[in-house]
Amino acid sequence: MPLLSRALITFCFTAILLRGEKPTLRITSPPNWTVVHPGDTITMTVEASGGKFVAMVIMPADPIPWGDMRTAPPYRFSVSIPRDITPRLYGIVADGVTESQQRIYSERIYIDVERPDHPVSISTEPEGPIVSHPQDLFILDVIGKYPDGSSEDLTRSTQTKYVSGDSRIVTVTETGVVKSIALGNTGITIRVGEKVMKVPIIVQEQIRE
Amino acid sequence: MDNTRKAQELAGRCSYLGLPVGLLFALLMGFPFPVGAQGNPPISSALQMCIVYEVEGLGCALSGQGPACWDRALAQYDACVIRAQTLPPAPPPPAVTPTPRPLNRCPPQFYGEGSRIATNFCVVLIDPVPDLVNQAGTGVVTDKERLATAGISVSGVAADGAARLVIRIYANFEGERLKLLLQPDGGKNPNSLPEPDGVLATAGGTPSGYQLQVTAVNTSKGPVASAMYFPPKDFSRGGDDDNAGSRSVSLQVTSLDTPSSSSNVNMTIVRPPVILVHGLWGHREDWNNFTPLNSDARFPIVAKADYSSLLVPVANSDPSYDFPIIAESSALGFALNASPNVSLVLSDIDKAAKVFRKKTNAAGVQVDVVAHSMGGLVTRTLEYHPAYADRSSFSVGEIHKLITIGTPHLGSPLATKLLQADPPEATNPCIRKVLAQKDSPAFRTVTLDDPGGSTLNGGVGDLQGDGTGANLSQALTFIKNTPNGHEAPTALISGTMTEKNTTGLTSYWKRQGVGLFLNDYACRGSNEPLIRALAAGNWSSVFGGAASDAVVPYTSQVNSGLGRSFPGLIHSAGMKKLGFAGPTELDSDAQTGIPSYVIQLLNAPSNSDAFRLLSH
Repeated sequence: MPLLSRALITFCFTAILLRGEKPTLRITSPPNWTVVHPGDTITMTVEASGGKFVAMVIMPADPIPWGDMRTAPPYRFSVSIPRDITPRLYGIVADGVTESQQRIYSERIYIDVERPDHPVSISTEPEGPIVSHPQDLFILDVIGKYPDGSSEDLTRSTQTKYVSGDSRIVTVTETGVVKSIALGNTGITIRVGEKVMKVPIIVQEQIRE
Repeated sequence: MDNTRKAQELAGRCSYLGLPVGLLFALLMGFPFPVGAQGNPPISSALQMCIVYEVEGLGCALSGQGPACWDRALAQYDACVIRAQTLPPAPPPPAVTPTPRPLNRCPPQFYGEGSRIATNFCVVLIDPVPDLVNQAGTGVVTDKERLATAGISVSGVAADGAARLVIRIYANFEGERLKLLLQPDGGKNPNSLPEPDGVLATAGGTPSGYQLQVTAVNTSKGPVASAMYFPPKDFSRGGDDDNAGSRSVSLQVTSLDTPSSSSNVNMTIVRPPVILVHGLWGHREDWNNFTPLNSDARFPIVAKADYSSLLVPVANSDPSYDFPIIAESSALGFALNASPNVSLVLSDIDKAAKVFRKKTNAAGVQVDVVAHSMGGLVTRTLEYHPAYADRSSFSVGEIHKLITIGTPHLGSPLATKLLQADPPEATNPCIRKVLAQKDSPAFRTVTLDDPGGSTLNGGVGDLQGDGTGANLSQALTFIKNTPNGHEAPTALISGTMTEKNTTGLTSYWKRQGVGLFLNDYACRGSNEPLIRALAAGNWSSVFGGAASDAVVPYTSQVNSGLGRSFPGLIHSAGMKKLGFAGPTELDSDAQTGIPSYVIQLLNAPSNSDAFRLLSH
């Protein structure tokens, strides 16, 4: 009887412990915001804990292709970055199924796809000075020209930094979305590596007759 | 730090979002605003991206995950802030001096200094937008002094059906009568009919013909006569024009009072800018393969609009997801993407028009829009926006022609099925999650993570419909039933899949990567209708057996009417991830033939059979 009790208690404890640890997935490499280049192939490693996973994949955002499935550790995945991809952040999630048919997702990480070379010049469309009106919303398209003669849309590249000269007049987001707030003259400073340019912004009243 | 404190800390940080309630954009763009709800100091716009980690932190709270989740989110947030703050402060902005407007190109003696008799008139072409647009916003002013002094000098005009030029002629004396005569092709082809080359009108008047008589009046710039030129509604007259980037019309000015006094001035006619508008979950780079149109030198401007750039912090959504969602604005509905002050598409149209004017030195107010999928419906929704038909377009609207490709004008059953809530056996939560994981979330509605908890329609929600006009979403019903008075002539292009596009489905879902994962593991227990349909020969059952491009039924793409169909195509590259084989509707001309047809449509008259008004 005592043996049975002890066995029962041990079983219950084990069950409680097993139940207490939730299965989790974590992308351990590459680190969040790792910079990769178009055409690269990177290896992603996923750490699984709290349960046995019978299948696992990683799901990158378009246009990065999905990869193969893994049914046992090590959970390593090869990811090919398309050559013609636009520089910016792309999210990736690991998705797995446990033995008990639970579907588990990792936290999303972002890889930062950027060209390996640097632009020889940058420009915006439209060129400044830009005349806008309060509440106007627009994107400064940033175009980089490269030594090989190619051009690249750098508007959402993390290498492109935007700073408003006066955030009471215009604000600008990390992705280049500009909002005109109040009347006045100011500028947006755009920096891509060592290339810096300033786009004058004039916020004026809507013309009314 | 316990979870409550962490939550308070994160909430405090998120109070930077505390901006005018109900104004979506104030939320989205709110970081740089001077003061947060709790009096937080202004923070740099460079912190905007850190919202990703704030929302992930909130996701920890909503999902009840433990301190490790908080710590990670906060650490990432802090790192992001440090990264953002390492950006050096902006140098003081330069003193901005607006570019001076050239009054005209005439030498000083034409400005009315003293009397003179010239054998050649000085004729200046003026873009009347915005300075010479009348109070009603529908035409050009009649005030003689303003006609003689205001406006921007240009050398040509776009054949967009709305733009026009003011012709300013410095005459010899007040009362001098001048005869104006249009000659096509710079006078090289005097026998061709003049009408396709535009018409003349008195200033502020309506188009009259290819010849006109005007009289000089006294102004502060001396004796000046004014007239207007309305270019043709479409660029190409067929033939050589189809391959040309510009053509010209000659204007001959002859004095009826001063013998031998005459001038000829060439006016350049150019094509309007072309704007490419992507679809649901899309980005501007979706058009990268759409050659040759996206690099065709005949078109002075081919710009790609992008309405994905706003990141939407999602507090709750219908349907909900059990993982944090950062939605790009292109995942939301027509109203958001075409609403006042949030419309990046309208902004991109305006931007293209400005670039066009600068690049071509021509007047122009309208653009040609080529839209894919939901982009066509966002564009159609723009036409209800008051700013769409304001004085900058003489109140007729900013779109000359709309060409839609694969647009679900009458909805798609796939959208309906993706969101179906009951009965349980008809729902598709597993495939919905798969799409959301690849940044393609399907929403009926989204509640924003802002103080007002604004609720917006989702893009997929707005695209619901059976494809023939029944069971339409409210947004589609509105577009279908509400003429807006400014509707652009629209041509419809459809893609339809064939057997070759789906033959790989079965093997994909049984043998390969993510397909196998979903079929055998992740979605195995659900027996979802859409998963079952993902097999060779089965997918058309989603559309009741009707033809489709795997996403939108043919009938919806052509609005239950006529359109040009291209077989053997799937809707978009995203479908390839589900096992469909391309090419897609946005692939190159060599693969699809669509870009060449779009160019044909851009050359075709806007009143030709290919174009029609959809809500009439």
